[in-house]
Amino acid sequence: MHAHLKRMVTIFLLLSMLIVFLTGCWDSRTIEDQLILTGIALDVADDPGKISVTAQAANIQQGKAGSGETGGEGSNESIVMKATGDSLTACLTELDRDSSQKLLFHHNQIRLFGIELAEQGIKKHLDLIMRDQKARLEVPIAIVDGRGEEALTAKLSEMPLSGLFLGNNFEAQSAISPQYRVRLIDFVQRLLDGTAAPVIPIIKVTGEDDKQEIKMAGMAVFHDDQMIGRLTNEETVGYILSFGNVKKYNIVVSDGQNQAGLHIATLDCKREVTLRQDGGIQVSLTITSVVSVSELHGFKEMKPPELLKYLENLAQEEIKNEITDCFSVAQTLDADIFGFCTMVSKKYPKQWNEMKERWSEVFSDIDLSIQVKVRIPETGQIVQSLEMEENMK
Amino acid sequence: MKSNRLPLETDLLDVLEQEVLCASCAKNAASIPELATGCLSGDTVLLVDGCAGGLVINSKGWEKRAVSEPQSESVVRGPREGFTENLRTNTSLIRRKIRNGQLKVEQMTVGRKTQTGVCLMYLDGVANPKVVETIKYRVGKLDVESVLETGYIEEYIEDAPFSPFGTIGYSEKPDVVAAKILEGRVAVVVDGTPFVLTAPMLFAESFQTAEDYYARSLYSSLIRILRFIAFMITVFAPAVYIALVSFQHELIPTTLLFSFAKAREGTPFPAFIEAVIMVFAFEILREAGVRLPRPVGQAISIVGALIMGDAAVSAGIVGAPMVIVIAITAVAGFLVPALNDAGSMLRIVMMVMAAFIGFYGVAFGFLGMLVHLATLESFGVPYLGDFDGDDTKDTWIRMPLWSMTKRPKSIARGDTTRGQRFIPPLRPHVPDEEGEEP
Repeated sequence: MHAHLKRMVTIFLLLSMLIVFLTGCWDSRTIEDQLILTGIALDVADDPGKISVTAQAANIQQGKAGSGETGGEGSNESIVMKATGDSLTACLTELDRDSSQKLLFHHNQIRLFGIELAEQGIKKHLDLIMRDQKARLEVPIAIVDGRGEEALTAKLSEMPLSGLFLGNNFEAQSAISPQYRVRLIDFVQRLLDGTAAPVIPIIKVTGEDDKQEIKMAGMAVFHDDQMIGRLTNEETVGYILSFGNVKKYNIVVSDGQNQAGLHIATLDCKREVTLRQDGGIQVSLTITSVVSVSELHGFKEMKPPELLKYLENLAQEEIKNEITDCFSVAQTLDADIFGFCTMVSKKYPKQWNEMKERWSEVFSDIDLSIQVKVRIPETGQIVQSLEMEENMK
Repeated sequence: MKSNRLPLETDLLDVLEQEVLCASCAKNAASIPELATGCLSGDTVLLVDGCAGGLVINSKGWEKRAVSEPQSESVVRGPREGFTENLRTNTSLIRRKIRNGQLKVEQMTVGRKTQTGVCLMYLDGVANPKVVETIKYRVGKLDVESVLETGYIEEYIEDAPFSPFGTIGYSEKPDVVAAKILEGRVAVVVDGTPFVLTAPMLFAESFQTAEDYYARSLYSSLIRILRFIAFMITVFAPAVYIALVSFQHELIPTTLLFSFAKAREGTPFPAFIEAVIMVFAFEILREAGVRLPRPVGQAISIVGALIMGDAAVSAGIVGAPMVIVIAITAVAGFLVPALNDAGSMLRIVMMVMAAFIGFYGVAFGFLGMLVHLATLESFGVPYLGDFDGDDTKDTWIRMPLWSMTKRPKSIARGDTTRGQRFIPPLRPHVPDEEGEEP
């Protein structure tokens, strides 16, 4: 018993000593010594061959919790820092050196690229971000129409930290369709697919000094890692719909005189590729969608049952047109933004090896057939619009 | 004197003892010291002219506290009586709950100087004979000067004296002790204290209260689960906060991180020191509140609440989130009073682990705690024995009484069946109107 006790005491003392003397706590990073990054932007620098990095961090000194004071006018909720260097590492080292706190990358909400840099190619700047475990691959990326830093210095009325705003915004958009939010991992996946053209959302900063806004401005289309063109917001709709998995999205259909706002509850798309006799390929998209009526203008002479039928047809046409429009833009850009090549390579691996060489030729000659099946089970809280009621009397 | 004793006269004392006196205990004493001791301890000494020796008749009577509602373990629904300091009152309180010949009471005396009466009570044929023997052996072997409380006996006979977890249970309420005896446990009643020991004790017992069995089972189950969660909170909350703030920032949602960072900004100490200050301050307050008379105790809690809660934050000594964490830690600890002391100790261990290597350390601490719990035994019964098979019916949740047809497998031996029949209460049997049995 005594030996046992002695051993216990020895172990206990040893452990306490270990804890006291060995706790360099080398990995301890107290929260207040961290500069919590909320956004980072990469641009081309004035010096050729160099890049400039802009980092946005939350200013935790401002408006301390509990003290009751809010930012007030001219508040600096964010700290924006800038560095120029040959590589991302050089820039980050410079940023770290010039700040009293360490940069904390875990909570970075967004990675931005200036449009100029995107046109030059962004591949070489991704390595550090992908290699470093602190920087997550799940962070969304976006192209800024202009310089990337603009988006981070923007003073938004909605949310003082534009990085946080963008992160939340893409998160909300991704509820409509996952395609709206392109994370680094999605982009890299497309990049590795080779022939598929990656797509990244474009944002644009508008407005004057104090009342600035950040707007979505379509999608940037890449060839390899270089931006070669863009889809407008309207053309983006077709891109989104062609992938299916769309929820809670509104479209407007019109037959010339009458107009209806339709709410897409769910939209699914089945894609299929088949080889054509002449060596080209045929792509068929089968879209099924459940839609509800959200707004009606006109349709005065119609009765509810035939109206729904009519609206279904209009919606089917609309969806088809959106996709066809987008597809033709993609064909003129010669960019397979839909990822058809991946489908071919998976289904026909043998033929693919040969087809890979002449993919751009095959792509421009794709036979696209779209079948849309829209179902409108309900009309919302009312059946007829007020205009229709008048007509009935 | 002894040589003068006549057979006939000796018979007179025996006749008196056996056929005349109506005392619960009378004994024939031959020596003067024996008679004197009897007289001094409150017995009546009967000396008969012509007889050598005399009778020591048990007529002890002293002031004792009436049976009253215990301070701890109070209930909303359920019996309110509690044990008193009198051994006989206590055994009779238990006996009144279990009117069965199988309930054995074994009297022992412990303490060289104090000669304290100790009673073992158990259900013969239900309690594990090995456990009964072990307890009897350990209590019988006790060579101590005094026994003033059950705590003395507990320390001498428990299995794991250095564990933060107690391996012997105690209660102040006859209904609780009766229930434990009915499950096959052994109760140790000690004269001079209203606390009664029950053994073997299992881990899940700390989470059970008397009222669990008097309230509806669904509600009891909910509260039972809440207690387990509260125990985890009281042990791990400060450690988790330290780990989050000093190591794993990536686990905190971004906006929460901002407010944590804002609160931490400007506080002079690292999170660990902050937590230690607060935990110790709380322990000091609690200790102060327990010992002080009630009216003063209230003043202490007001001072504590104001100074600790508000002033410390506005003075910038500790951050507001830390105050919240310590507050929830403290309150959660009171949900499981039986493990309050264990919780206080483990909390500090976990905090050190967290300050050392973050969540990695907390995980180690948790595993260490589990391993330790699994190695514990109480009188040969695994401490976590409840969390196994049928016994689980009364651990995480409290199943309806009619579903618990068996006594705990890990404790009871012999007659292990509580009730033979399973009575589904959804369709109670009602005879037909004609009175015919279907």
